[in-house]
Amino acid sequence: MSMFCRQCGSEFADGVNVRFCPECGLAVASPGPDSTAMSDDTWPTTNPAASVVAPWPAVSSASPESQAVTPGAGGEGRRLGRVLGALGAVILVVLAVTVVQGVRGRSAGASSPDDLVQRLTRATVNTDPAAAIALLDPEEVPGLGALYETAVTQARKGADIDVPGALAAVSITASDVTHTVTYLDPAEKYAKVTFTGGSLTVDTEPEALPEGIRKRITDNGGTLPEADHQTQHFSQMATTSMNGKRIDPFLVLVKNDGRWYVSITMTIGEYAVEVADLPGGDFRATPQPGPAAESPERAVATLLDAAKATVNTGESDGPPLTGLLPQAQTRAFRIYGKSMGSWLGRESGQSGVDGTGSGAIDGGPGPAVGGDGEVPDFSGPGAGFLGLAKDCSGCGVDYHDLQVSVRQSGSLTYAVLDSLRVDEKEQDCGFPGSTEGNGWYNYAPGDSAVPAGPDGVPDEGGFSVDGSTGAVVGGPIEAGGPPGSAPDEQCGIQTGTASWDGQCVTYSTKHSPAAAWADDESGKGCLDDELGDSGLTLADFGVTDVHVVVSQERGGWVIDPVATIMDYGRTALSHLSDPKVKAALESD
Amino acid sequence: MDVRSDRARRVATACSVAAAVLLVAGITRPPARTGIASTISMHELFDLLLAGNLPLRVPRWIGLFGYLPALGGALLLLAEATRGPRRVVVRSVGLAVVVVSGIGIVWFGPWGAPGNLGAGSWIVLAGMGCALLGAGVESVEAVRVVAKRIVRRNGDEHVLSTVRE
Repeated sequence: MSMFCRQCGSEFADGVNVRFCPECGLAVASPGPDSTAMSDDTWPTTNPAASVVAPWPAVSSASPESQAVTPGAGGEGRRLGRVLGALGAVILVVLAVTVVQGVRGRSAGASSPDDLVQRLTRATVNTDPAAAIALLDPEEVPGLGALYETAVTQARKGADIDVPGALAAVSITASDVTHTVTYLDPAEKYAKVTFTGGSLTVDTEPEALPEGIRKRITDNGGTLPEADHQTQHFSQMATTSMNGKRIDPFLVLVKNDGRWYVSITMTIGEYAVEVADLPGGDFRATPQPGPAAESPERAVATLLDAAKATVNTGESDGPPLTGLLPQAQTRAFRIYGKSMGSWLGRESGQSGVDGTGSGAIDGGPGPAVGGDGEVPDFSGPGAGFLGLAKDCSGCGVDYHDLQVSVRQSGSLTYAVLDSLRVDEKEQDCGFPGSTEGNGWYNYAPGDSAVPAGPDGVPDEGGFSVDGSTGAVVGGPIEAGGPPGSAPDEQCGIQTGTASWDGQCVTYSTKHSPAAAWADDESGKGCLDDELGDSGLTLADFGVTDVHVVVSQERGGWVIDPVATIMDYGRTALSHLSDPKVKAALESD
Repeated sequence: MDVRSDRARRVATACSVAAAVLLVAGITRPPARTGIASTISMHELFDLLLAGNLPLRVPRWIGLFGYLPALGGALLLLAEATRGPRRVVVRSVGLAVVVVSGIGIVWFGPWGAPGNLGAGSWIVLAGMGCALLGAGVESVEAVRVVAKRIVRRNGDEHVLSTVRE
């Protein structure tokens, strides 16, 4: 007859006298009088506290302890164990879900705009960049972390500065910070947080710097800066729009998967709208991206095609740019596309969107704008620097000899521009008194002019130029102001070509007839040209080619401008500690 | 089970529960007292790493380490629902995970500055202490029981041999 341990179920050999389970060490209690005949198929229930049922009689040496078993205690323990085990399992499941959310970057952010402001304030006051990064829209800032890390590494490597340690010298205090929250769209997925009051005080205490940093400064012959105390009131951070409207500092937040994040691009877009008094963003714009390119090479070609079409015709007939960009980065473009179109139209001498422009320089009918989610359409008469093809026969830009190679480095894929030639022909107008460029803003010293556009409306850039210094002493003028003494405008044709061979660009421009306001030019610039008189070249900063970062999305390839900028920045930063660069910078 | 064993078992269970609570709670608090990671919870911090948004030149999966304390706590609770060798294994693994995460937090949590431990780090360390205490109690009791078993086995054999004789 076999015996089994109640705890671990281990089987005991027949005839062995056991008082403890050899597997788990559980003390074996003596069987009760009514549990004497237990076999494999007759599991005892009469004495639940008994751990092993054995047919041998109680021996006299059974200790009092082994008989002082509380009936039912084992059952309670098991029930508790099961409950705790279930709790552990629940925690494991929650952890798994949280990890998945974390991988997707969905556990950062804040639960509400107010919560975000509180978190941001805490992060600022505690000089916690990690917490601040957690509040940025993760879809918008790829590569920002790598850029920051490179900066920190280079600071340590090149200047022996421990950035986290250096933060110890900075103390920030927030006082009475007040804010308002305004939702920008009916669905309340975009919010504008405006800081209406309060202040930030920054105290720097160099003596609190880590010893290594202080030693580095003094070893280099420097002295520790004096302690500083600066208070910045949010009211002092307010700016003024072109129409004189006060703009308090603000951030635009976006809601993703129920969490709120700071959107850098949306904040920039909203600032542009506010400062330039543009029509507000179109938050109904639905994300309808065009197709991604079939290869990195094709992505670059498509980008050039789109740019060419927009410059030549001012229309969005070319492939929509939105298809060439990472979806996450097109949000601001979609929402503020019309606003930007209004601005571009205005800057090129036209009115606002669809001829309904407003502001100080309202003029004639302006360019139309593309539909939702499309590239704005800048077509229209006299669209300025866009729509070149309309200015003259054969006018416009075109490109040839495009060669792109693909390079992989780490996790990034680069589309490297190996060769390209761009030809351009455009109408070029200016004023005899100007010295260079197209004359709109380039008058010779002594000129006093309010340049007028083709429609006779004074341009917003009207100014006068000091006769002795050449400094611009005027500024934007009010709409309908005095026409001034602008000389008669003259126009000609400018042709130009620029060729890129992977390392150098060769360019030339010619004017026909020869323009009084601009000279014919030609020249060559290479990556290994000296930057000013610094003794450094772009190559010294790691820039050995011209490239864009491309990535795969929506079944094709897209160009990632943010990653490209971050990558160039990271590359440049990583060369700051090179001896040549370091020496040149220190000599400055 | 004798009274003493039962008491030890209850203490060990209580320690495991307390450890689990602390270990899970710890990852919801900031790991550092001041500066970087002083206002962001441990799991949020490591989520940034998992998502590739934290400025550290390390593989993203390193972010999983931020969940080790809670994982250890969960394993300690799971061990309470198991018996025998399985319990020993689960509990040992849980304990190992807790110890590794505790060491990692002391080292990395405050960014290499042991004096800068934040609330989250302290809570996790307290949880690790509870887990170790429970393991200690259980181990001592196991040693006691085994020693007693050896003594009694010898004694029983002596009694039985006497009876048979």
